[in-house]
Amino acid sequence: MSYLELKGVTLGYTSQVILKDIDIEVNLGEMLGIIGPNGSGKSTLLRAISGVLSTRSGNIKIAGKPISKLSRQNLAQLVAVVPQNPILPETFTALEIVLLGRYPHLGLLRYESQKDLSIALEAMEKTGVASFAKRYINQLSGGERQRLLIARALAQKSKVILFDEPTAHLDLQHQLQIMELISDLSDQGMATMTAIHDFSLAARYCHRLIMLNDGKIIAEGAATSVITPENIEAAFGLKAMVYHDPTSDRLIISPFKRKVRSQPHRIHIIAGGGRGARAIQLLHQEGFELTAGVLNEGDVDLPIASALCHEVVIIPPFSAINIEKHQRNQELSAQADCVVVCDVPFGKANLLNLEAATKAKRLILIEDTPLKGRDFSGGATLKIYSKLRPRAKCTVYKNLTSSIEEILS
Amino acid sequence: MTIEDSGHSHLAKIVWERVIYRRRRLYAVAGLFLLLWLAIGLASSLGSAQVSPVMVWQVLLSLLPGLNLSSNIPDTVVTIVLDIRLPRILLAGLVGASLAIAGATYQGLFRNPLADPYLLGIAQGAGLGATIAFLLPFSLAATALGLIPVLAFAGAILSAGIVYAVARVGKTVPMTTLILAGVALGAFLASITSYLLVSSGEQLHSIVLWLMGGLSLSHWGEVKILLPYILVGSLIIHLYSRPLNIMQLDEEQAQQLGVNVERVKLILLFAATLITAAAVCFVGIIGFVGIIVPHAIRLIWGADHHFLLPLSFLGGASFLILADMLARTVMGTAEVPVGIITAFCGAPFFIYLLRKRKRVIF
Repeated sequence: MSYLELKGVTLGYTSQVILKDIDIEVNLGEMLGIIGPNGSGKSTLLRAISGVLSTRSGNIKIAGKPISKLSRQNLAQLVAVVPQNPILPETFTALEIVLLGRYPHLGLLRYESQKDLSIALEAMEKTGVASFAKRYINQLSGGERQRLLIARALAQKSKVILFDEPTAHLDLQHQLQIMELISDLSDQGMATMTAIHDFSLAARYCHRLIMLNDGKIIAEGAATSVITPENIEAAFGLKAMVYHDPTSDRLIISPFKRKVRSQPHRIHIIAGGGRGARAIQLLHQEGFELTAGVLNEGDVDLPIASALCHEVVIIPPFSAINIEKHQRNQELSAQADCVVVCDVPFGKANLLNLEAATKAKRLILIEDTPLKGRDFSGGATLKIYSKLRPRAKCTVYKNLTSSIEEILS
Repeated sequence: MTIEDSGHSHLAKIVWERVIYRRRRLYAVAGLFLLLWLAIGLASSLGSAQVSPVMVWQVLLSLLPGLNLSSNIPDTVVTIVLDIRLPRILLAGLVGASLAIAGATYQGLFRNPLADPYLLGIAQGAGLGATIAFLLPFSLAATALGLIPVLAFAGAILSAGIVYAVARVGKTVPMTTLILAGVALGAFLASITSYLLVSSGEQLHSIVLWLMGGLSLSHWGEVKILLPYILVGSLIIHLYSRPLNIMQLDEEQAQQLGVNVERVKLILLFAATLITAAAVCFVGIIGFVGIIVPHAIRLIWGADHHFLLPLSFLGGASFLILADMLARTVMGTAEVPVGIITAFCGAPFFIYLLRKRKRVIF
């Protein structure tokens, strides 16, 4: 049994249901990230677990106890919250704010003891705010406030801490600092749950992610299986490029905006070696339907092509184009309203890419780099290229869109 | 020095500072307690018949069991001090204490520095109740105190109850709605009172005098009735100092820190309303004490309710005792309404404090 458990939980405000029939489990030592668009119920979920909002149906258990049966004071011993935009009066010093976290253990009658003070200070040391214990709240920066609130949560000595967008409004350095801190807490055996908008941070730090949309969990699991172009499109209505950057071992997410065209013309792109990425991005933004032709696995153009094209013809790394893939490439070229040949370096392995372009109805050649500098086939490329050139429109990346509009009209 | 050592000394330093912080405020409580006794002594000796402070203290200390220092003091002096002045002084003290602690409670609860004890329409409710009592063609002999305090008390409690009921949304009471409902009902009740005043004829003068507030008709009976209300109410409020501190944050944070916000609100509103209504029903509406005293305490000793509440209680008591002393002495035999004194003397002192301390107090 997990330490924190939600079963069939439905949540809402007056007439509106926000989350329907949600099941979530979080173990001790686990860092769970909650992602999803604004209004998808991330904060609502945290409010329910902290007992501020009562469930419509289903139940929430912490350490095996249903929270609806616990008093506020007992619940605050089990779960602490680091809120997003809290009111912190300027009459309080940093230490006094952290000492408020001892309330669940003090109640009405006890005045704080030396033990409470040392717990509060230990928490402040952990989050690096002990040195300004005596400062007033208005003398703290955004990052310091956030770490102060984490110290307050730690002073509650609960095993579960909920974070509501802890990195919002923070600069890059402080974002990382806060996420490291949460990660450390999980490593020390706490169960943390973090609502977060930043996919990269979520993917980098959280052990597991849950994506919420439209009142439901639409994906759950490791970052790579949750943050996918499909899920991002389903939840945010956005086309996005998601790829694993092998250098930094991080997930890179880059969303795109897109025009809507009255006639969805189809364009096939001959890409490779990083020369196609720009054209793919540009034409995708213009609203064209894209396919891309033959790319090796590991090619720099591949992540963006897979994210934005309907179909990409792919071959193994460092291999030459085989006949089967060449045929598919030819078909796509023939079906497209226009074929764009990027200024790819051509050699023996990818010469068939150029060959496939001969099937095009309309053809555009991009010549930012002249062919002379990128012909590594000993003259074979030039032969095909000079066959293509008379019937093609030659252009540069800068004028690509207008050239296509021209050729299609 | 190792990191651990520096950690320990840091902790020791912070612990020591908390000890000092607490000790200073406990000294302040003791100081204001002493001030209260001095105020009682001074107010007992001043009046139309001067009694020497030495004699006053002899009489007062003789009240303690086992002490008899007043054997050689004339009976008239004992009567003046114990039966005429002391009940009035104690009533002033109790009312001042109630208004100040209720004011501090309302300000903390509503997170609004302008909140005063009459916020929930208590003043207007009491005023209407008292006005009706004045205008009724009969006087109710059944109660020893007469009809005025009974109807004033009923009016105050009823008004606060209506405001609370109106502002209630499901299981919660949003504080802003509560303030607005209080303002609206207050205006409504005040308009009725004004209408009754216009048509009140020869009673007009005595009603207006009551509404302005005053302690001229004080007896031991009133002190005895008021005492339990105010002691119990203040004790309950004191018990909730820590939740009140936490509720200076927003309600959601307070809940997440383990405070049962709605219950605390209900209990504190009830206690503060009860002592305000008890105070108002005997002495009418005395303004300014409930706002100025807690803020002056905040300016000097900070906003921690653990100390703000007892200090306001003691400070409010001394303040109203001294103000009432001036009210009955400055114009010779005639009395000045005490509300005039509280504002006239309290406001300049408060402005002085505001100028002297520039830090945020609320």
